[in-house]
Amino acid sequence: MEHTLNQFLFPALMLFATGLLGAMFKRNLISIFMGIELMLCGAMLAFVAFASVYNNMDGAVFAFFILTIAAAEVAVGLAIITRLFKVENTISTKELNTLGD
Amino acid sequence: MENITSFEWWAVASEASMVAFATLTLFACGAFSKSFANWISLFAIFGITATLAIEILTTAPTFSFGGMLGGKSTFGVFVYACALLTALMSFNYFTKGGKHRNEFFAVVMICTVGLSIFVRANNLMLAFVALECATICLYILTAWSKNCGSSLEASAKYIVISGVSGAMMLMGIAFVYGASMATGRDLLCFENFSMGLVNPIFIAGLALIVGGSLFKIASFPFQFWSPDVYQGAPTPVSAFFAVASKGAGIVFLGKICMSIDFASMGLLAYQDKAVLVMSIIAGATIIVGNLGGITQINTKRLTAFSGISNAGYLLVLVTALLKYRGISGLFEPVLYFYLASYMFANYGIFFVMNSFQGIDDYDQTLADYRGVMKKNPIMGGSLIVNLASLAGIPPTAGFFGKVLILILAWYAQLYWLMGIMILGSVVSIYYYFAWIRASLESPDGNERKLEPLPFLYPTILALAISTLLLGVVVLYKYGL
Repeated sequence: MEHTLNQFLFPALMLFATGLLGAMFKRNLISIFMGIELMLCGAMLAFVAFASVYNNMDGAVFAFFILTIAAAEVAVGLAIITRLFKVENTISTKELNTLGD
Repeated sequence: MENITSFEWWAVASEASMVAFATLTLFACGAFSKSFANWISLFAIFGITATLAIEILTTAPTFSFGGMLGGKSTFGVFVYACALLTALMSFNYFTKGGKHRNEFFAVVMICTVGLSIFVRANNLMLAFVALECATICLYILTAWSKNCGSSLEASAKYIVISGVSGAMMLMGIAFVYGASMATGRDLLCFENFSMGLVNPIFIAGLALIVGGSLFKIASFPFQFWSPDVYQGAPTPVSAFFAVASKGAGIVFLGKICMSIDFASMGLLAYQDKAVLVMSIIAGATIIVGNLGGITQINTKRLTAFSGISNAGYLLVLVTALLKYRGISGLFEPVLYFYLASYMFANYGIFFVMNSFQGIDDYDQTLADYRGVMKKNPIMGGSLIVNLASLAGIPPTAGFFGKVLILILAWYAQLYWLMGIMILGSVVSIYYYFAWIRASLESPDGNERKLEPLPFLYPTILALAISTLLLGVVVLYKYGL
């Protein structure tokens, strides 16, 4: 079956937009983090779509790099969020207000 | 893309040496007992110094690794010098009760390698991977005071902001990749950027990439994170943020603008629009940074606002290059002169900030600086000289840096932007002088105590003297 580029790019952009909205409007740090991961997934899907439609492997290979980067970011990020919960007893961005004037 | 026939490993000699030293330092942390900790620190400092020497002494071809990696620029020396200064400054932080000094050095070293490759990369994909390598190290460094809520909060904030900006940049790179597949040209390489300008998808991608790097240098409208992160992070890390991370973003933006040649594609209408957008961003960054600084009494937040306005001045330089390509030969010397003056001044100030007692110094205010000059003339003198440089008082290096940027902006006929820059500098004198005045007042006994480490005095003095002499020496050498 023939796939057109837009069939892939539309979900990719939707994923990206959903992630961006989640990262902007969620109050829980874990949810924000999931939003960021969705944005990365959207970009990854776009890479794979271009790679498959134009028969070029670079984009497909780069998707693996993005996976690795996302995994490293999650490992560090979740560790810091866990520590933050231990010290401050909250991970809601509303209640975290040590910093500021 | 060219075929990779041979790897020119000499092209990455300094980066490879830095990674090797960082790995050995980490290994030594686990392998040897605590009683060797000081020797390991000495080894790490030696490693950074040796890498700095290798970076200065070796040369690299313009393209290596199949065209993925570009040639060397002054940025390598700049970023390794930042690593050395951060490592020296952190001795004070760890004397005050910080834990895991040697691991800290290793993470700083890896971070500088990421920034160095990010700036040298000639391919957007490599640039992104290197940037993320540096960014993840910065998350860890920001959260280093792991029992202190402010440090962790700053790190969480930086993770969110940086994650969103990184994902934006990645989407931009995906668009550029798509455009290069569609047109059959390798638009991911910097030197082909001009050819992509006729493609709307490429322009959308480039806009996302530029937006992502504006996040990194904390310019308007993405500047809101920087005061919070600078305030919460351990002071040596704030200094690294202010100088190395910001410098990398600006050099990257400069590289993008250098490779875009609107005239060669006959797209002068696009150029006017791009220059207008960049001018508005630069002007707004200067205004926001300086207005935020006026009312600020928390010194760590004050340095963040000072950093925002300096990002604005550097964006004026980038805008001038975008508008008038005739200055492309002068662009890099002026950029690196300004970055060097900014590095000396900022590290000079942060060394003094870091000498106050308390590991958890997110609430340090101008009132703590009363009587610094009387209590410790070396610290006080260095503080005053470096603040004067940031304020742009002659004959310090900061003054010459601003004048050089103004001259290039004059060539590019960015008159109203020059006006905003001069007004911004005048406003900034107000808050820098409030700080200088505090340090000259007599102490009233309520301030935090100074706990300087005497073996860092030579570094502090060297920073102050460099700030005083850099401008004069460079001007004399080039006979201007």
